[in-house]
Amino acid sequence: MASYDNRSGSESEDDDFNPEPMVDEDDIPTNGHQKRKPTLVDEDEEEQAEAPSDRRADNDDEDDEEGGEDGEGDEEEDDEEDDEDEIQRPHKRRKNKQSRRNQYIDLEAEVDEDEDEEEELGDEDMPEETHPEDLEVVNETDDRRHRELDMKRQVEQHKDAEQLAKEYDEKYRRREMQRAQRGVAGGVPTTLPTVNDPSIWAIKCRPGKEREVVMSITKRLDEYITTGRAAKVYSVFERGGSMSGYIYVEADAKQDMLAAVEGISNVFMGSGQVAIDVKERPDLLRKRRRTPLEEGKFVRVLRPTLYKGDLAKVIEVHTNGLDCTLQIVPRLDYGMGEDANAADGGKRKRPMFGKVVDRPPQKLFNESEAKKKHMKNLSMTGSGSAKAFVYKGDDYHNGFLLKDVKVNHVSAENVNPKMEEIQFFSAPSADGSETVDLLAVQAAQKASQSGSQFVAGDNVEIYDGEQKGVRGTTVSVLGDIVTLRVIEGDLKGRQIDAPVKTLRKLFREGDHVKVIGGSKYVDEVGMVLNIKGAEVKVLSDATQTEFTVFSRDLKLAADSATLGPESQFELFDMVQIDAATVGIVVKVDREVLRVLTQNGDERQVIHSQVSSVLGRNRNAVATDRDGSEVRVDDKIKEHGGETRQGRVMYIHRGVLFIQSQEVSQNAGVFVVRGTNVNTLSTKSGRDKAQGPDLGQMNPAMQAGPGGGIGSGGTMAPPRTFGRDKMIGKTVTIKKGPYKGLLGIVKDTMGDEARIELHSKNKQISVKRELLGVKDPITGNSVDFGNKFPNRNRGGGGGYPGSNAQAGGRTPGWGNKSGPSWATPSGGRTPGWGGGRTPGWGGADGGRTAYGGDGSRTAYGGDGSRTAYGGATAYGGNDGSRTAYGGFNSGGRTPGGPSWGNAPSKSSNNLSAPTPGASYNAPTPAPYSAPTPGGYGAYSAPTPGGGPVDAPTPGGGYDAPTPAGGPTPKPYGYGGTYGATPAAAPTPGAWAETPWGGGPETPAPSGYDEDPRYD
Amino acid sequence: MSFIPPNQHRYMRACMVCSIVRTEATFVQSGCPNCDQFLELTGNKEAVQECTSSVFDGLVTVTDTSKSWVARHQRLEGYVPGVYAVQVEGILPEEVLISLENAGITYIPRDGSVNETLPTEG
Repeated sequence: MASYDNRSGSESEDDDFNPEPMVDEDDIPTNGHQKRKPTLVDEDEEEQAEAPSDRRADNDDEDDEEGGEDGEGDEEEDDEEDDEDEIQRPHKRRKNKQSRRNQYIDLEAEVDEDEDEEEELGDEDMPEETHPEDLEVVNETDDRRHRELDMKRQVEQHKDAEQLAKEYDEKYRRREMQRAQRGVAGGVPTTLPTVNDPSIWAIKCRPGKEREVVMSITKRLDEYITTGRAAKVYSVFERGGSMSGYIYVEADAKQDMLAAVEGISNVFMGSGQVAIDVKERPDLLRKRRRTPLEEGKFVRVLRPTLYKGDLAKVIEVHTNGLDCTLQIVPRLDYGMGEDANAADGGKRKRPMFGKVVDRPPQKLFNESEAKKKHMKNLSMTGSGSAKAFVYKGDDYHNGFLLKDVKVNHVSAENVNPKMEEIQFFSAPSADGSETVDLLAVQAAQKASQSGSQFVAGDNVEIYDGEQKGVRGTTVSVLGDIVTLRVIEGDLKGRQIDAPVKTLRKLFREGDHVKVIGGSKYVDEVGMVLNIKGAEVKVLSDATQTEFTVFSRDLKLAADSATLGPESQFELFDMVQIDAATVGIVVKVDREVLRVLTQNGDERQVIHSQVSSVLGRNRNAVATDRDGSEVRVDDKIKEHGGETRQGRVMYIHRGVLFIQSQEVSQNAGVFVVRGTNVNTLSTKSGRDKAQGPDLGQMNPAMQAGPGGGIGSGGTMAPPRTFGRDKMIGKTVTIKKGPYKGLLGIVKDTMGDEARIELHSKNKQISVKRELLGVKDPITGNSVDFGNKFPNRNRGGGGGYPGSNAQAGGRTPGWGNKSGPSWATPSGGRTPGWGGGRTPGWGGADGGRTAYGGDGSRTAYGGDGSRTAYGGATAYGGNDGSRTAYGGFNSGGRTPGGPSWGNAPSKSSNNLSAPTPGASYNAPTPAPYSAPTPGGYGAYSAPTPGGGPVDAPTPGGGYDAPTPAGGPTPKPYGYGGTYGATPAAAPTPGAWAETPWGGGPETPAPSGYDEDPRYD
Repeated sequence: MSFIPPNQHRYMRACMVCSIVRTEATFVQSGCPNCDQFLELTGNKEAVQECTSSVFDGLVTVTDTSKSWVARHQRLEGYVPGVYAVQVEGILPEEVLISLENAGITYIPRDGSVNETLPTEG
């Protein structure tokens, strides 16, 4: 072997040696090109490319040195090769490999080879060819080839390094090129892993640091290679995004993998590494198809962070597919947030990573705002009507920011644009109305579709794909697949499955539908007017307006409109808007309420602007034009104006909110001042006075400017509380079939009483007024009045002796039957209280605090009772009941005297009631003003009694009064009494005013007067 | 070598043909080691912009493109060892596609738009 070496060495040093290989190498390209066709086995290619050149080189060498051997050598070689080709291809390969190896090893290998050969040959049972000569030949050629190899090596050593490098470079590069091309050339499906492939491990790492980790490992692998160590790891990869937190290493053995990743920062070795199953490996490298961006589509911005999450519209997708231009609603503060004193040129602060910075609200670009502080950053680029600016390096067109971003910085999935966001992008159309590109919106929303929007029984249509146009009814929904039964066409009756994406709900014009989502019309119910593609125009039931929604947001509705439960307000709620304003809700919308305020104007307020809902105040009272009390639920009629009628819904400080059937606007509600209405009827239990309208009978009143103070008061008669005192009393029946019979009152109902007769075991119903109370023991008539009169206001008849009507009843309400005495209202109102009090002020003195009394319950037990007390007081009167006229009013009312004087004052009285005075005075203060007059008037009403008085020994009564009431005096009017009955009623009406106003401030007014009074 | 320091990561681009990942500067300086024959990126900034993409996903470091299944799956066989991307977004300009065709190369986009588990014609 050594000899070979030496020899070859000497030969190679030969001067004649001419390194031909250069030329040979040049030939390679042609070879290469011929072999360019992709083949599957690399090594053959290499061999074929290399073998000829080697051989030629050899041949040349031999030519120079051992010309004679040429032919033989060639032949032998050929033979050998032929043989090998035919029989022992593997053998040849080995040899060729050996030819590249060190000769020392070569020899040893050769021995092996021979053995192998023999074995192989023996195995193949071909004795002819195992001939020793052949073996020898092989050996010989082997030797020669080794020599040749050695020579070639030496030649190469002589080449200068540069050349060598160049050669290698070219050689390998070309080879790589070929491969590269093959790699790129498709047609071959990507390979699936087999068990023979290296394993892949998943290794945990810090999420977000995958790339760095991979790079760190790359660095380590680079080092391995440069230091000549084998990198036993085949590949390292990461997928970020969906598989963040892991890197994957491909290696044969776990140790190799561990060696590669150990000590790399951000790699977590603690939790162990998972070998990925063969089947799952392709998934690691699966490519995610990016939803293609199209112009006009809505997307969500991921970056820049300022606009993160904002809705944007794609204006342009650049041809390289990497960038797109977005239309974004700017978030600019135009330098308002800047620190003017900040040092200039300082290092620009970068917002902390991932930190959400306070960002200005979305707002279209405003040129003038920008000019305020950032004139220098602003330049106008547009011409004509196009409003285009460059502001701080960004383009703004028509208020929108146009920004180029990378496609991976936008998300076209789950865009779900909201209505308010889309409004920015609505394009103003020719007629000035804003239209939204519903198609784009729909496209954006499509991604979010799931099966949930379909329910069994929906009519649907397939609008995309092969089965386009098929219509059916949904049978079931499973995930994104909807099973539907076809209802028309060839497939009728068949059940087919369709992905949700290709379905849309089908409605017909006239269908009653409900909006179930996706727009601001949620929960609106209406009728389908018109269907255009997926857009459905619906006429709302509630508002009678048209709106357009997507069919997918609709469902067939059986029910009628419901306002969302989210609204805490109801129609006709009384709401407080601010300290000075209240109003009644006349329309509830999702976002706004329409409120009719106490000033009569209509306002739209946002829910949040309403400070509170005021409850219904049942006790609220207002005064009507006539001074009558107006309460909730009373029926009133507007005086003058449109004379609208309606029911009082709310009373707020003398302002009435009236609901009317006749008015259509504002949900039938209108606002009117209490003093501008007349009461038509009051709510039950508070019957309006039924007596003749004395106002109209009063010529003076008729003549007066106020004219129509007619309809008297609406004060309810005194109420009774508790058990009727009549019950259990022994009574006689004074009239009717049972006249004269004695019995016991068992029960009372209204104006009837059930009497158990003593004479007959029988209960009968008798009008109360037909009863006379008897003392069960003595059999004498009992004056029941003391306890009773108030009670039985209905029937008055409680008075045994009384002439039922007037006498029995408290003066106040004697009026009912007795027009002659006092106006009904007068009778009832504190007015009369007043009338009486003074009178008895004498008798009862302090009690008269009639302001208080009156205001509260003129009729209450108190007032009336006192009155009664009065009555008792003049028991004498009473006793002399005969003159019950007197009893009633005259006797009782000191007023009696007072009115007497009237003549002079009568005018006074009248003037007092005149609208001017009283009507204008809804507020407390005014009240007090008129009152003095009013008082005069008050005393007057009782005059009702006056007329009665006249016949009676009024004088007698008169006399005491003055004493009782100093006040009356001033008012006292002499005998004009009779003349002034007209006057009398007025006061009555009058009297009410204070009353009506009473709840609010009557007391003060009353009290104000008091001093005067007493 | 193929290592790219973290501060250079934001300049990384991937060749749209072979998916090798290098910094933009490297591409301009020495081109794409696999595709420069037909892409001719070396010294051509414009071509680098057109034929490489900064939008890519998944970094793969391959040390042996023939033995690695990952490399085979990614069709990286025969390429130089180095860092590659799993998925590369972007569209090659028309003229580049033509020159690829002329070079006898069937270009398969690496942006996931082609299902690679199915054989394609040709």
